[in-house]
Amino acid sequence: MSTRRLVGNFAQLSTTLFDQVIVELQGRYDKSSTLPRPEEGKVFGKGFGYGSAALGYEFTRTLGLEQNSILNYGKLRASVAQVGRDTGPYRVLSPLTSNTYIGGGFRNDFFGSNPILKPEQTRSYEAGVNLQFFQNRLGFDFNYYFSRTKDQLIAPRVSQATGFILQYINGGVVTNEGQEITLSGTPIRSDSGFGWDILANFYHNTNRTESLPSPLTVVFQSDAFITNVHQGGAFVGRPITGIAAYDFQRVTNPESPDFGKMLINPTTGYPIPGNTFTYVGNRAPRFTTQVTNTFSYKGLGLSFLLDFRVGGKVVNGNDLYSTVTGTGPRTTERYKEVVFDGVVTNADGSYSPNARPVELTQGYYQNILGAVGTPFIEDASWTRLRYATLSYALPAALLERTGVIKGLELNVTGRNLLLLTKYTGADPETAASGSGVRGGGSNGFDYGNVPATRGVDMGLRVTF
Amino acid sequence: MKKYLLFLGLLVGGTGALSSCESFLDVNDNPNNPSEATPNFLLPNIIANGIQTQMFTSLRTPYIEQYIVSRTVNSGGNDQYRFTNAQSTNTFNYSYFQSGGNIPPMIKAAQAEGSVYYVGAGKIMQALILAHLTDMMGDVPYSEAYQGGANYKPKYDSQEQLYASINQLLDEGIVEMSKPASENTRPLYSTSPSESGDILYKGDPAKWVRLAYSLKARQLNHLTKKASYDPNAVLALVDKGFKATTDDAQLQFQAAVAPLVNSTNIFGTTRSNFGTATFSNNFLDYLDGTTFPGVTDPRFGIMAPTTSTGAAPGAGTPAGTNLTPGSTLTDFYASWYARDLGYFEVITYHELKFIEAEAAFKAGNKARALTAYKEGIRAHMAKIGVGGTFAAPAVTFPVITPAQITAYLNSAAVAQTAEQLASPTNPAVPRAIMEQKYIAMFLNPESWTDMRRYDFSSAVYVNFQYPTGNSVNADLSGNADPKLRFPRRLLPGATETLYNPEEVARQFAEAGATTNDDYIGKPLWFDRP
Repeated sequence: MSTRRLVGNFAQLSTTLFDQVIVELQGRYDKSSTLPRPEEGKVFGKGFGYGSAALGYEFTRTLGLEQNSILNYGKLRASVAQVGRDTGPYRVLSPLTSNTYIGGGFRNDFFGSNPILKPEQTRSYEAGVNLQFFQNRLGFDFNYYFSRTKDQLIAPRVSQATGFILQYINGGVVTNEGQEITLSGTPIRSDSGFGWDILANFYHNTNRTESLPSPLTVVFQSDAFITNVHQGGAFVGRPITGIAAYDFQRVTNPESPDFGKMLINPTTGYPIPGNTFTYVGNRAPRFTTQVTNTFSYKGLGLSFLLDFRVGGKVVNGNDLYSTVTGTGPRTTERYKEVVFDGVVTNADGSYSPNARPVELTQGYYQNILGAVGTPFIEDASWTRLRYATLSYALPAALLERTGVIKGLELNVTGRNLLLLTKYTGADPETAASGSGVRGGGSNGFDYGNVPATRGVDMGLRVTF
Repeated sequence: MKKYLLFLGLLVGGTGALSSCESFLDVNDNPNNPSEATPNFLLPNIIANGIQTQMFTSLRTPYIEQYIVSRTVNSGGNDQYRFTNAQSTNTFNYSYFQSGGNIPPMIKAAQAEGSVYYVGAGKIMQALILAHLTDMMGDVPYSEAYQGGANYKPKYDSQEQLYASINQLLDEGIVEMSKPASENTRPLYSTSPSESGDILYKGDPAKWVRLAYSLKARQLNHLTKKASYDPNAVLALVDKGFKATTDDAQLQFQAAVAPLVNSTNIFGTTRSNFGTATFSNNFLDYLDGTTFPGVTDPRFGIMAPTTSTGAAPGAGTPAGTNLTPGSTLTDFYASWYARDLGYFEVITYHELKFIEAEAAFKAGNKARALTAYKEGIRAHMAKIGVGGTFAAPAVTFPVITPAQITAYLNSAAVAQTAEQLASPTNPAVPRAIMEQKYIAMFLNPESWTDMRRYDFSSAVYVNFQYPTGNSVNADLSGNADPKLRFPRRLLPGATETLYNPEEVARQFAEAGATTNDDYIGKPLWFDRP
């Protein structure tokens, strides 16, 4: 049982001026039982204020364009908002837990307390425009946003020399910047009853971990510990949806002409697995686009959604597993003789190209290739037909005679009918431990996951 | 301006209204568990988990020490000098989170109420925990440890600095524990309403003082490779250390009855950590008359069944051999040291006697060395020679009579003159002392420290064998210097490689190592001249 109490005070002002300018102001002051007031020596009851201001302007009214045959509606909007957030209970003075080993009594629990926690603050700015053309036959909506969250309330895993396994802290600045474009149109609407509607959404988001609480350089998402050699991690200057992985040891001196080349062990002739997690890619896409087309003719309807994703990485843990166990397609080259493309370190510190031929043994797949993460990271771009629906509604005139049934519609929907991707696994749209993980979650980690199913539904809808 | 709308939220303003919220919001103390406790409820965990740390280390070190080997041929495991970060994780984390992290709040609470013996016990336990950790791993955090949110990546102190900190903690602990009982408010040990406080010595501060001196002697005696090594200083500390086996610092195992979990012997059948292990013939050769022809050690049959033949590291043992008689379990589980309700030794009277013997030998006081050496053997034999039974597997341990001890002490297995203490091939090396210490310190991680100090030399450890098989750690076995072909340190814990990677990288850089297999062969500070 745990108790969190929050006292909130609101004020809101909402007004429309001259029927064309909408102004909305909100203010809020919260006091939370979960945040401390160290200056007063209290472990509860910190107060914090925040609010928002939004402005909308329907300029087409000012210009008298409501009946204009080309542009009949136009609105500009902008807003700024600040939101404060408290934390969970009992994080200022962490409770002890029972010692279940010899001697009994108490010991520290997993979470380290923090007597100086502060509220998390997010400030966001948005601006957008909404235009309707040709008497609403074509609509365009553009939105831009930028948000910055600081003093995030997080509990990263830390060195246990701190005395704890996880530590409650305020820390880190994360920004999100993005654009959303929505186009909706009706290219054809004929008198014969044929209609074609298109709805297209474009979405682009840039997420960045601006800073992490010093001296952390990375926060690993512990629920994304999927393989031994890959982790979800937020690195400074990188997206929070980053992938951390082991790589082969490489020439790290940027002055060297061999910079970035793989180091080869001169006595064995094999590459050398590294043992530190470094940033190797982002699991989030560069942008996504969804296009829905709907055709209708009398009672017949056909609608389908095409989904495009460009960029972003996925970790193919199944490939790693099958390579290590010797059952993967990579291991079909077993016993082949190769010379690894890399360099060996000379006695004087310079490098010379590796020339030593070696065999691709199972030991190599198991202890060298399988001991690094980078070869098992793939591009997650896709084009997919997320669904297609064909429906037919019986004409009302036909049903009138029954006197009971008012409507009868038959439909067939196919889901995930088509997936075009370069990903060698089942489906790059995947998450290893569900979507409940905070931050980057475990999206983009494919390790024994069940991919989305492909299916066909048939339906009959009867209205009485 | 046709419409004009105005909403004003009710502002529950004014400081008067807000201050009435004070009691409503005062709910941030967890009602289910306390956030602080009196020192007597914190000390038991510090002692028990502080010692359990060494048990986790002992899942690995007995293979290095060749007390035991894998039953599997070419196992690719510890007996072939291959280690993983995960195998070090508990050694590191139990030193801090489970045990050490509770010491600063306990000392603070004890100081506030004037319980000086708890302050002393906290300091001595901190020294004990830190000494074990640094001897296994080298540089570890201490000066920046236990700072919670104020420092999530504590810097590692150098081992030299840690040895100084350990010494200081022990000196401070001795001062507290030497104060008269009148200066101490809370009893150091209590059985009412439930057992609390000093579960190690049941409230005897004089034993804590002797423990502190014994630990100081052990740590100082680690520095035998250094020019500054002073055996007489070690002997002065030994004089103030343990007086008898009843002083031994050891944890008694208990039946795992709820709420206790995993409280039986780490080496035992219930916890089942050693099912794939058997005795090494390096160890059995000392007991069965191989190393000492014609002398069967009375401890054979107690430390290991007399049917055991042992195996060499990497060689394994055929299925169905080296089992506990009358059972299909490994013979290791028939050892006195594997009894589920036995004890785990941290530092003992018999160890101190061997420290005394070695230091006296090096100080040129051979007569004292011989006496202490024989007393060490006698004390160990008397301790484990009390008989008893155990199940399962069903084992009956024989009693060692005083006459048997005398007979053994007078036998060819034991040095009878000061000259016989030394190795026949090297008069500077006290082989007889170290090999009897090795037997008496069965499974204790401290034996690894002794082996490192003597570079695993065959002049001392005559039966020691280099592991065979093609899975042997090639970075070590291929080393040009034969002294550098052995494990000298454990790897950093797996959590440290994740959450404190810069410090781990610094350790590798300072050791001059690039791979884990290479790193473990690099001698620590105490192990260098």
